[in-house]
Amino acid sequence: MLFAMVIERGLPSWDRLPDAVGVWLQNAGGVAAVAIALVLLARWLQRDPHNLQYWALPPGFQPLLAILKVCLIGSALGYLAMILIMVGGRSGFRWLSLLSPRVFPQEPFRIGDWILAVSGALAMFVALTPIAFDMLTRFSWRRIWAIARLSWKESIRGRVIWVFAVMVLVFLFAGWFVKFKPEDQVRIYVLVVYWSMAPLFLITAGLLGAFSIPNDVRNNSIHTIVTKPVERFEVVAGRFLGYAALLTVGLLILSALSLIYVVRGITDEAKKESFTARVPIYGQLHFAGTKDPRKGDDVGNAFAYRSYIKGMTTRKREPFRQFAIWDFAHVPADVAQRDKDVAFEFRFDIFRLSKGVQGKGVFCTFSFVNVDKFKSIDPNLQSQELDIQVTTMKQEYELKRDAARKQWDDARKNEIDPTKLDEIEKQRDKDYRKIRLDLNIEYGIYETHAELADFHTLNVLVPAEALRHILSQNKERRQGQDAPPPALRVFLGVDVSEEAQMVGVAQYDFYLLAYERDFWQNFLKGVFGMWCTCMLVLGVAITCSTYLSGVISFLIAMFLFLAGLFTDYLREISEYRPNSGGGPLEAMIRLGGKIPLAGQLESSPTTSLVQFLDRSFSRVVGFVLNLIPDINRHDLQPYVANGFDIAWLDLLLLDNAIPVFGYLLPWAILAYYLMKFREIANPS
Amino acid sequence: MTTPLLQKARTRKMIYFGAIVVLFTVSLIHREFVVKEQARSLQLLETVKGEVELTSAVVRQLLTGSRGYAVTALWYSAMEKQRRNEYHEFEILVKSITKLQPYFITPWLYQSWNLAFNVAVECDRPRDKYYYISRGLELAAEGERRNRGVGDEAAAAKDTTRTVFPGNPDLRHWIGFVYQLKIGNSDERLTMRSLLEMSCIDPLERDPDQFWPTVEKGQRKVDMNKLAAFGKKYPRLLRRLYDQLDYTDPQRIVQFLEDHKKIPSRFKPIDKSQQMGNILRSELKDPQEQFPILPPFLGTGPNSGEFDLTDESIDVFLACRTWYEFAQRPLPDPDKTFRSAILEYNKLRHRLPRAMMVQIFRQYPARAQIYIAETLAEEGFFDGEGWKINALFEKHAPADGGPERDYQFATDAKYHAQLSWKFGHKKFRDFGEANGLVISAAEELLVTKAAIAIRMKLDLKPGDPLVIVPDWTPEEKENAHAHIRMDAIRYYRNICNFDAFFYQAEAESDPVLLAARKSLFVTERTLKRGAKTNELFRRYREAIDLYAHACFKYPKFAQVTNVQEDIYELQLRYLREQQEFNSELFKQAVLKAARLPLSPTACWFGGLDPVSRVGLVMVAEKDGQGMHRAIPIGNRYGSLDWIQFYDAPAAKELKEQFLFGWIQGASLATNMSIAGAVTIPGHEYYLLTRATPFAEESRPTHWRHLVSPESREISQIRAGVKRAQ
Repeated sequence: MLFAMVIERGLPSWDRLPDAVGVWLQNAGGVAAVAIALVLLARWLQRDPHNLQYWALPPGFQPLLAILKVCLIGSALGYLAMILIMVGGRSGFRWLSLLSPRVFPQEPFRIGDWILAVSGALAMFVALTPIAFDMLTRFSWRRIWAIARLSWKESIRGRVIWVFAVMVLVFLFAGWFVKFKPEDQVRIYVLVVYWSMAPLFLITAGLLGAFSIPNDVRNNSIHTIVTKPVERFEVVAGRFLGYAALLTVGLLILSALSLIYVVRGITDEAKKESFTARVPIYGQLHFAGTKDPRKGDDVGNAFAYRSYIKGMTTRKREPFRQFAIWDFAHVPADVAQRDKDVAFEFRFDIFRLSKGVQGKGVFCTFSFVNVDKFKSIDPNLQSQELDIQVTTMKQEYELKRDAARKQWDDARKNEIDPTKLDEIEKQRDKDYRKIRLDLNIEYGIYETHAELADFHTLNVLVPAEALRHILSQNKERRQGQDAPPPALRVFLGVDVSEEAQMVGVAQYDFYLLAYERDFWQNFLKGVFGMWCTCMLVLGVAITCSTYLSGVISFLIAMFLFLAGLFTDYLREISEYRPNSGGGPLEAMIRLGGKIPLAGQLESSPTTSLVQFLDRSFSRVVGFVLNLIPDINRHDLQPYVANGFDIAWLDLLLLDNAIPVFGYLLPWAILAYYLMKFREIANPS
Repeated sequence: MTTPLLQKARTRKMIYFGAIVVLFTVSLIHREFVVKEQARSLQLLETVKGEVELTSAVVRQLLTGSRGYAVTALWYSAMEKQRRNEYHEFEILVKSITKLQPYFITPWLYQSWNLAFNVAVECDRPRDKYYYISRGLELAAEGERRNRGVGDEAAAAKDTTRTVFPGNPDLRHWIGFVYQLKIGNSDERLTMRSLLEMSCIDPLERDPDQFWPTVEKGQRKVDMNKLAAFGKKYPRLLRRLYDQLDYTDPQRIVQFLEDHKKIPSRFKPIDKSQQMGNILRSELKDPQEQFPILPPFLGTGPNSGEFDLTDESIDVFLACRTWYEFAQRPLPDPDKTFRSAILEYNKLRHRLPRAMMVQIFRQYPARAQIYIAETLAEEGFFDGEGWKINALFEKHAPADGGPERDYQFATDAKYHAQLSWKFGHKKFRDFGEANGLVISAAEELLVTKAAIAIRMKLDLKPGDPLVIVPDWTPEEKENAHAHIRMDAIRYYRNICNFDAFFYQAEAESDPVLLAARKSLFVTERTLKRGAKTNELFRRYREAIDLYAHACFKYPKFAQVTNVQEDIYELQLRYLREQQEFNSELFKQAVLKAARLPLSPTACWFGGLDPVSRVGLVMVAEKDGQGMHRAIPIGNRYGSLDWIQFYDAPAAKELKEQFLFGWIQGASLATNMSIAGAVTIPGHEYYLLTRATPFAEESRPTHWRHLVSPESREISQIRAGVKRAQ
């Protein structure tokens, strides 16, 4: 069951990378700035400030200190400016609010965002420079490697790897407890192994990371290291790399075993549904015949992922037929040049307005069109034009087919040899197909019908030859168009029937199936997401353990991980929306007073105070949210379970590897400073 | 030599050790014989609550105090998955929740409802719906097993010394109710019922490959002989597909079997590629793994352990009935005399349903039996005549002909609606007697007499509340109890709609009504296929007359409102169809009638005076379309509107014993021939009946309309010939 995929967040895009880097600079730089401020405060309070050589640069690089100071001042000025802008904006200087940062992440960067990003970058530069110098001048990769090996050996001697044997229980007994529909077999198996492996590795990563350095300190074994010419951060890096290697190897071995568990005895239905790695090409969705061209009708579904188009009935004809339209900006040349039929896969949601006929589904029509053949550029007008064109095309087809049929009927009659009749029929069918294809090419329209079944991946096949000729070659904008015409436009309409029915669509519900790859490679790619999460937990746990005790470090790492699972929910809270019931205090007042969401709260000082506190709470949550890793992005299991390829660049690199690196870098800086200034001789 | 200090220490240690041993032993004994026994008697032991599952117990122990958090998180995630339509993950989460809370009934009830209703309804394909309904039912059944208690509840009723811990009646009832609503009565009930029957058929028997062994010109040809053999064994399935779902082409029938080959069933799946040799039949799954899932064998009814599930015909309502019967077991014995306002019972041995009134709850097994009878009749299985389906097999017979055969299926008694109705009537009678709703005539007379005495004394009417005063004499108290009892009987009969079911079941098992139903079924089927003839309308009329006859014979049945509404709606359809079929004749007749302003039947113009009415007709008749506007005939009247009958309390006796004998005597006296004395059975029911075209006028006392004006109005509104006020 289920369906292809629900991609609520949208797919990652390289276009958004600069924006993401900007946000990262704001967040990480902000944290760095706060840390620097604390250091400076400590320095100011310290009786003998010269004892604290925070930025002790090598002798030849003393002039750089001046640059760092300038950066520091620049950063401080930036933050000061932002404080003034925000205070000023609230104090009646409305023009200042134009300089404030954007409110919603979808908006483009404003001046305030740039100020924050530059200030953050300067603060990061100040914080990173000593580390960079250390890395270049003091760090030894050999020493780090030695510590990593030590960590690896310690773990093996500590029989940590036996934890992974728990998976054997899953392989042996999971089948007893899990029931599934035949088509869900792969999904369920994938789910079971991912859900079993993830906690196993995450807890192991957390425990390993959190307890290693505190144990060294407690057992005084760290003295044997720090008394040697070893940089303290090398201990952190070595520990991280050693444990990371152990987890990676463990993950690889268990993934291979899990893969064997998943792939054995797969039913035909499951094979068809999700034992593959589809490489889809998505189109851009918009609508015709609906009130808003960006969305269809709302049927009141709590899950507002899809919007709906309605079919007409034979009894009542609406002035405009509703269409969902997908624009494909490009179709790869090798796909278009194929000999085989090209598959377009889909799965939609059916919303029945009447129960219809038992056993009969809802039918719809896909029209693949070349927009160049249309007179109008407006999709609404095109959809009306489409109906006329299709009717004309059908009439013409019938005329031509009837003319051809006469010839073929005569040929059949005149044929004496009965064994050749089959051959004549084949030729006749071929002729009909050619007539149809010629008309498809002439009109630039290929139409096909399908019976829908919701939550199942279905497909329509378009003959490669027809597709080749339908694809638009025109790259020029027509007058009044904002963008070049799409290479292919697909109209989806619900067929006219006795009783009206609705079909729910979302952008990622319909796609061109460009290629299919092997399931196993996708499975392993999916494990990479889990690996990223492990690295996050390990990194956070080790960083915390440089200053805190093992238990506290473990709890912090797990807290951040669990909070990371609810980032979407936290984001909702952080985006304070007064029209949706307000924040917790307002909700409490509404509950107590039995005031519905639509009801207005009485205007009073109490209400103002409550709303102010709620807004402040949202801001605090928004700030905290910046510190929490987005764990859900690393959950690639839906791709594997539903048979969708995990793209190397877009998903693995852009959406997993880079964010992990981005998140761990500030933690690494923190670990550097915490470890550097930690008093090891007196752990208490 | 040990020092005194060491000696003392040793002694102290010995005493401590002895005390530990003694205390530990005492605690063990106390635990075994006191604590455990108390826990057992208060049903606190997991083993007495029902089936114990090791994994669930282990996980609960491992979670220690954080079970609440885990359940909350799982519940939240499950709801989120459901919101996103990710049902396969949702189901796993639901299972996890119930593992952590196995003795909390609400999650079982709620989540099984969620699966069987909310998730199933999101699916458009019937087989997907069916799958989630089955999952919901299986979840509830698992909950039932975990809370089944121990001991034989039925045996405990007889032997009060036996240790028994009752199961949960709500869960058991709920399972039956889900079967009833989602498979028996849903919008897609025809498909759902067919799938349920397929679930009970060995997959080897319904394997579509055996039905189309040959391929001609790329098209598979159905082996009609095999299909006939299948139909003979499973006539209800075939008839549902052919007759009710209109799969008139055998290809479509077999395609249906193919499309629904892999559905939840009673049998273990067979991998043909791994099987050597011929397999005669599939292996049964464990009873708790089977679908339809049923309770353990109750002594009668279906038995999941047997290859052939039941001797009765497979029906969803049979599953309902079995669960409803199983749900009765934990209930205490009813108070037949209604002496105490609150039912007193041993709460450790018995349980009452949480929400439903207990009398309604107890009525369900009988109600399910009525459903079985209704379904058989609805599908056209009435009596030994069975189902003659030559049309399908002759039409699609192979070109080479084959032996001529009479394809008459379902002649066995298990397919007779008549017998089912009879059994339903018996079940209702048993229920009535067991719960004090039906009492013998002699007892009724006594109780009524006593009730009247107290009513006269205190100037009470039936239904008036009465509080028994302690100062009353024992006789007065008895009389007061009689008043309360009579009220209770009426109240509970009314609440349970007892009379409607009881009398309908009685009448429906009568050959006269059976003949009427059969006739109506055939005519309706013929009409649906569009074959309208005068012969068809004659049969319609005949059926309605037979129905009227049955009403005279069973006056209480005649008062069942939903039956009245259904039959009246049928008459409206018959009249409309007949009017359409003989449209020209009807137009002429109406036109003539319209020209007779004083004619009592020309009543369509309402407020218009006769003169203008004639003028309007004169103008309109020149224009064919105009006539339709001039003569807005919407409402139609037939014999059911006109018939009235006498229905005083002793009308039956009056007709059978006095009037009929008197008429015979009078006839013999005037004629003096033997022929005059010969009576035709059933004619007595026509006595004291009349037909009047003035249907709406007030009728004499104790005379009833065959179809009450209220029922007629409801049917007219339903048929669209009248607007709701």
